[in-house]
Amino acid sequence: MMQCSIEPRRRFFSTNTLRSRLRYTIGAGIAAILALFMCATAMAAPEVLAKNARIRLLPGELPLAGYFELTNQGKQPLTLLGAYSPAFKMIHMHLSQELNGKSTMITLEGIEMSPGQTLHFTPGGYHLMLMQHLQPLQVDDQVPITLKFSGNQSLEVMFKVQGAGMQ
Amino acid sequence: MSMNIKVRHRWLALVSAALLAGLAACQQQKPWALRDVSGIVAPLEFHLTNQDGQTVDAASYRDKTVLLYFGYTHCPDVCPTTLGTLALALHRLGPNADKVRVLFVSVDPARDTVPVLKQYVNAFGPQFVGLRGSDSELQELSRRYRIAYALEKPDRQGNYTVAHSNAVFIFDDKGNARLLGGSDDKADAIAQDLKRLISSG
Repeated sequence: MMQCSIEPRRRFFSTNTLRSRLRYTIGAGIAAILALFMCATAMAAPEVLAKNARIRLLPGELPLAGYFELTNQGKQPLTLLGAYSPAFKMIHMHLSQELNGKSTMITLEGIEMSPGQTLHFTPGGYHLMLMQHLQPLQVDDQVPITLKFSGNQSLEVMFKVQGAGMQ
Repeated sequence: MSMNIKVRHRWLALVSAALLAGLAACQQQKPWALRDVSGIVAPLEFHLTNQDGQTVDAASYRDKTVLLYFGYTHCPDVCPTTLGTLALALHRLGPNADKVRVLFVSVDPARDTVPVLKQYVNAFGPQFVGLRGSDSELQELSRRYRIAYALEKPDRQGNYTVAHSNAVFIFDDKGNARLLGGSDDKADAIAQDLKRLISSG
C-alpha cells in the first residue's frame, strides 16, 4: 500500500517576510490538496484480476497488440475505459470483427463488466492497440500498462513481451 | 438354367467390383480440414515486388506449395495472428516446411515499403515472403482472387486501418488452387492438409 503523508517542504520557502510566509502557506496548501488527491487516486484500486497479460512484438515502429484476461471480482458492475503506459504514446481499445467478408477493427470507448464476468482480450477479438513505442522493446521484457476503470479507478498490469509468432 | 446362373454371377461380380471401387474412391477422397477450392479459384498468377526489391511472379514459386494471404503490416491483431498460426503450422511440417512459401501481399503498399516488408516477414520465418505492387497490380490481383479491401478513414494523427478479406489461398506445387483457409482455422488443421498436399505432389 502506498504511504500518503503530507509534509510541508520548508526549505524551499523563505520565511523572512510576511509576503513569502503567505506564499509558503498557499504552497503548502496546494501541496496538501495534491497529496490528498494522489492518495485518493492510489487507493481506488478496482476489484479485478488480470491474467496472462502479453504483448505481441512486431519489428520496427509497427503498432502492437496487447492481450489479457480480466475478471470483475467485485459486487458492482465495472467499465473498462482504456489504458495508458509510459512505454507507448497512445493506446486504443479495439475489437476485431468480420464485416461483409472483411476483417475490420472498431474502437471501443468502454467495455462493461458485470460482477464475476471475465473479459477475454485475445487474438482476433478484443485487444489493446499499442501505438508508437517510446522505448525499444525485446522479447521477455515486462511492460507496465495501467487499465482505467469507471469510478476513477485504475490498475497497473505488467505485460510480458512475446515474439511475432505468439499464439 | 446354368447359363442363367453364370450371367447372374457375372452381374454380382460386376456390382461388387463397382461397390469396392466406389469404397476405395471414398477412402481416397477423405475430406480436407480446409475448404476444397480445386477448379473454383484461379491458378496462381501475379507480378509483384518481393521484400528484397526483386520482381517475382508465380513461376518463381513453382515446385513450392504456396499460401497466399492479403494483409498489411500496421494491422495489430488479425494479420499477425493469422501469420503466427501459419508459422506454427509450418513448424509442424518439420523439414518439409521448406517446400512451402507463405506469400504475404500488402493491401497497403503506401506504408508497406520494401524494407518494412522485409523486417516484417523475417519476424515470422524464412518461408515468409512479403510482396507489394502498384495500385493497379494490386487491383488486378484482388479481382482475380475476389479479395475485398478498403482503406478506412484516417484519425487525427493520420493513422488508418485497412479492412480486408482474411482468406488464405493454398496452391499446390504446380500453381493450382486447392484449398481455402480462414482466420478460424487452427495450425493443426492447416498442417494436416499441407502434409497431404505435399505428399500427393
